[in-house]
Amino acid sequence: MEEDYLQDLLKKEKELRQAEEVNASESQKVICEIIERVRQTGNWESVAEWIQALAKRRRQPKQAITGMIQLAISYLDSLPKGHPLLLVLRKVSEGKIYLEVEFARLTKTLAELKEQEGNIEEASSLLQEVQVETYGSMDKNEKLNYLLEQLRLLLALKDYVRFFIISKKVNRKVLDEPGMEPAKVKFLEFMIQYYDYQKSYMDSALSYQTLYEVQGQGFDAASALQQMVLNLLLVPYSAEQSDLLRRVEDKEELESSLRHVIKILLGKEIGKVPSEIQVLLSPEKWNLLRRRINQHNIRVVQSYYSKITLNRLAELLEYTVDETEAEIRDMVSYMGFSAKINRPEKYIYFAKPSEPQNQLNEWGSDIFGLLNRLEEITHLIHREHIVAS
Amino acid sequence: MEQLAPDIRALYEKRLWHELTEKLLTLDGTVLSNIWPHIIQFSERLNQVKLVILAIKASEWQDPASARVFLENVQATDIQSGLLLRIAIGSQSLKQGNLSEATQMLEAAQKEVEVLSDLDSVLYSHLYGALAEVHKAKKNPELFYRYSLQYLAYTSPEDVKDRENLAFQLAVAVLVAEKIYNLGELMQQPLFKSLEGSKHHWIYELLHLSDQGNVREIEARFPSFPQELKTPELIRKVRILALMEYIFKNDKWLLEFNELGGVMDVPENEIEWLLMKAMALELIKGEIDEVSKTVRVTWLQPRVLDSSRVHLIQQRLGEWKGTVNEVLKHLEDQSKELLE
Repeated sequence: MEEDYLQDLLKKEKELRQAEEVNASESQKVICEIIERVRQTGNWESVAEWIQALAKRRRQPKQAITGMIQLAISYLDSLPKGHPLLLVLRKVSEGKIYLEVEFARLTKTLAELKEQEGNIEEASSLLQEVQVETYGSMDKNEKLNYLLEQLRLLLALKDYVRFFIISKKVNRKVLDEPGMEPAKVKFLEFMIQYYDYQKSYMDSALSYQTLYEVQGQGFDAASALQQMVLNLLLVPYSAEQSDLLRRVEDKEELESSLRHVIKILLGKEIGKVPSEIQVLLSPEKWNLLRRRINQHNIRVVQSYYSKITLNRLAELLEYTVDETEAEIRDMVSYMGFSAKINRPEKYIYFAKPSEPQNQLNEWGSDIFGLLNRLEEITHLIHREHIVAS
Repeated sequence: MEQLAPDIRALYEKRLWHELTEKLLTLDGTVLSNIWPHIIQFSERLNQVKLVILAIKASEWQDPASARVFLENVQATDIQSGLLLRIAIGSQSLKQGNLSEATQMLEAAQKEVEVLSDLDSVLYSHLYGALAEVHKAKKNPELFYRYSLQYLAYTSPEDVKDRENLAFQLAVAVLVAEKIYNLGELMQQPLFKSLEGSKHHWIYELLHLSDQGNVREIEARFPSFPQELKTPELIRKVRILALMEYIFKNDKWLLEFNELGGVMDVPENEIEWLLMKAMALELIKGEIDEVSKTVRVTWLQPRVLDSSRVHLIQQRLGEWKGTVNEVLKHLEDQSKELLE
């Protein structure tokens, strides 16, 4: 009886395909019914066979196939994880543009499975195959989560080159839309891991800054701020760094020791890093921070001194003479700093190039200022005289 | 109305509102707060700013909490009086101990006051007075000092309460504040002179000694100072002041470390720290040459000039005039051929 019914359905299916005019919705109804019937027998192998067979048939309407696959996907929920049907469905969907979303979802499920088995590499490469960013029919939220998943696996594999390429595919505008905060936080956290690996502290700091601004998304805002500052302190001196530091210098959420360091970097005096900060940083970063402070101190000295002996400078910085010399060498080579070292005499000459023209101009404007002031004073004295008399 | 004194009643009946206001202003705070319900009845007739002043006077005799409620019930009808009232409420809030609320209220009022012009000086006086109190509570000597000076500028001397105490606090603030090196500003104030011969005479002398840069004398007196002033920062400040005074008095560009050591009474390896500090505070500009142990000073922060200092400048300008003349003559002599 059941068998007869199935035969009838198959006949109908054939007729529909051969009809002059394609009735897609009718086809879909019929083949879904077939699959459903087969499923009820509980023989999953034959379900798989039927799906493959029906999908391949000539003039099978796309809509009908899509409907069938979607129906079959809904069966997966009730099946144990890793059921062979998953692979079959994925295979059927592969390469069909009208099934791209289904294909992507199935691949993701498969990747999750592989990951649970501990095979991250395969999981990641499965996900990589899906060029989700080119899919037109997937909604942006799902697409974003897909990309985030790809990024997450790449990070786990420490494949930073691919990570960077994929990270470029994330649409930043979508991240800024309201309601996207959790995804944004996730993305920023991934990016921070990447930047940290790359040692690009400025980018880290900027990401933390955005994190801090997306407050209350489960990520502790104060710790984001602290991380932002810590990264910012490691950036070589620049106008952008000073500007960002100035914006956070009075934030009360910050620990006083950190605020102290900010004050040093923004100030014009020689300063020392408080040792409390050491616990917040890895040894490598701690050394970098100390170097940054020293560079600041050298800049301070440069602005006040015309000449200084190496010994004295080392004493002021609490550095050894060799370290001091090396630091100045680096600053001159890489940071647009101007200084000359007189090695035989052991002193540093902070060259401030100034042209005679400028000097003359400066002198002229000084005299002008003085005369103006004198005139103003004479005027004021006159007025006093008049008022008094 | 019957309870009011006859003279006030007479003014009220004659509808001489201005005279009535002036009369009320002479009254005591307690009296004012007693007759307040009556004043309310004709409050619309009075100058609104003066009405608020009356209210402030009346509130001064109450405890902060009820004074605040009292002030909050006063109706102010124009912008100025409204602002003044809010300032008064802000300062009551401070008296209640709500520092952050008071700061917020007063800073909001300050923003409004600063964009408006042509306001009654009473507003400024109350505002800056209250702000000075806020920063005193916040232990920020710089701003306490700054706002107090503004308060004094807008307040007639007889309205300043507890002059001697304020003068003393200002003198302490000026010595403690990290960035204020212009003692002359305070020393010029008539208020400051009230310290002379008072129980705080020592601080009056201390400021004079600091201004003259007399480091050694101050060091000798140092042990007798109260804890607040017995700090290394104070000594540093005095030394930098001495440096400034020395630079001012000496018409020299190039100063040697060993003479500065004498002026500031410090060993040679501390001189540079003090110089750097002075430069960081933008008190002097110049360049240190550690190799030849000299400093070349090109600029000194302008300071309040007393007459001896003015005399010095006059002398210096005279000399300068002479040298400029010589240069001019020299140039003319040298370039005769060109001019002919």
